[in-house]
Amino acid sequence: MKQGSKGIVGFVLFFILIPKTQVFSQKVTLGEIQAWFQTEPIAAPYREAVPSIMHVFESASSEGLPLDLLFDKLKEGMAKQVPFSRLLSVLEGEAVRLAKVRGILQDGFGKEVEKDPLFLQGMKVGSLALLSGFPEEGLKVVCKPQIGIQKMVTLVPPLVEMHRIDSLPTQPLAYFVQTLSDSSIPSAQYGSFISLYLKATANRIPPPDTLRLMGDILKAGGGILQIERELARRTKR
Amino acid sequence: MMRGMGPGQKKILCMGFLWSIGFWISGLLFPTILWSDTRVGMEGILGKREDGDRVYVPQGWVDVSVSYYVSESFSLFGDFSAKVGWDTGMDSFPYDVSGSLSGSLRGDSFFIGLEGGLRGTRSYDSPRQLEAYLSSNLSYVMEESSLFLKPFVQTVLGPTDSITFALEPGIERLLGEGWMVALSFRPSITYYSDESSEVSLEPRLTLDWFPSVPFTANLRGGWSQRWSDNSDVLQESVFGALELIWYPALNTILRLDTIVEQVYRGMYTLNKGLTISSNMEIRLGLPFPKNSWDLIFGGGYQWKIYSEDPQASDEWFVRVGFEVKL
Repeated sequence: MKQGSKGIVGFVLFFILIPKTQVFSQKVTLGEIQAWFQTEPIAAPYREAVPSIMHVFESASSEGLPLDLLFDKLKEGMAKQVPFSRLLSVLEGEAVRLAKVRGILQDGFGKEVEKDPLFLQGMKVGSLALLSGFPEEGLKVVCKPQIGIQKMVTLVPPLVEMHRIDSLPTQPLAYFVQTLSDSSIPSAQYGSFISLYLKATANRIPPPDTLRLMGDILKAGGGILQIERELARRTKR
Repeated sequence: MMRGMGPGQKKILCMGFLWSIGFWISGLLFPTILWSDTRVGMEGILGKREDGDRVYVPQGWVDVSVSYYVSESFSLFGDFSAKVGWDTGMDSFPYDVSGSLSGSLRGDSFFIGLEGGLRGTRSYDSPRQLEAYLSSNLSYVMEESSLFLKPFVQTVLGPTDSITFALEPGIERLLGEGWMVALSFRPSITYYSDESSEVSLEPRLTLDWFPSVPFTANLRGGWSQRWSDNSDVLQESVFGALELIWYPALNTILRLDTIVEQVYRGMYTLNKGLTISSNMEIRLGLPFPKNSWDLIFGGGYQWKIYSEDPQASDEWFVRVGFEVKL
């Protein structure tokens, strides 16, 4: 698949799958996955490939990765009747991404983050962000103790979309994310930054300028209204 | 051109000059240049004018913008833009050269913006013209709304020199998630070098939508009335405009601007009528090298019908070009 197509697929999956990550029940075990292969009709065409697939799960389990997200990916692939070779590479890719995201979450929020009820959601959001082309450095910027995992899971989806419109440079991104997190803007309104950023980009305001300007306004106590007006004022072309 | 200027115009140009000196001194004292952006581009425009002439306009441009973030509450910006081409209809060089300097000061409950600029233009429908302006934005910021006052002064040195003073008070407010509305009123007075003058009033309503998807819409409308100095109504009109920006696919920005204006009272027969104009632009970013190349495709159409002339007139253009970020 071409890089651009991957980005689009990743983005679509991002928004389709995020709501499903709101509720995670108990952790799935290797035994349950093995048993699922025996009983689930959609797994029937893949029975010969079970050892290879289980190998991916065993590796992930030995690394201490939660299997739920990989299992979701497996069920999604089988439901779509994805060919075995493709399914295997998708699962391997997902396992690699999850390992990276877990490392970023642990580095950012501490080892105890795995006990946080939002840990799996953070893993899912982070993995989909990386799949959509969001840089690891950008993810590290959002995974900071002063931001917290609760804001991280609501901040990352709009940031991924902003990055898709035009690359977000790391240094001003860190400033913007911190000021947004500290601001009184409710997380439900974070999505508006996608269209604000689009308007700034369409009006030829460079990304570092946009992020710095938005950060300064938020720091001064301004909100979306002031950001829109100052960006409009900055527009010269 | 400077010799023909009145004292008011000279004063504005002097203020602009002092403002630019202050800008650069501030930049030197606080050498925190955060960002500068330079873009060059070229395009070819093929169009039909209102008189039926088919024209071709190849043109090129350079845009430079510099930002100084002196502190978190104080920023300075400088912009320079020059566009020059060849117009087969004019059989001459049209140009549009402008420079502006602006500063922003913001605090917990206020925003002060000041901007000064110079612009020189020559195009097929207007001869050589030089304009200088100073504008300001004084805002009192509340949690979900703000009150603003925008004083504005502009002088134009052209076929008929003029100086315009305007004051635009207004209020803007957030309306639920992603919606904002602004209501303003802009009275202005213009004095011309032939000793005539005119006054205009323009109440304006603007609605912006910023949803959680890569799309944004701006809808604005207003009414304007212009009087001459002996209280004759020169023109009365209503207008509405819609601007849409959409990011439909990777590296693609689509922009559509449509303006409708109904002039229902004018001094001359041909002043009265309906004008609809629409412009579209698609910018296609090339992924290499480093996302710095944009291909530009665009087009526009304008349709006019006059109240006492059944013959409608139209003009259109298509354009293809590219822009490179240096």
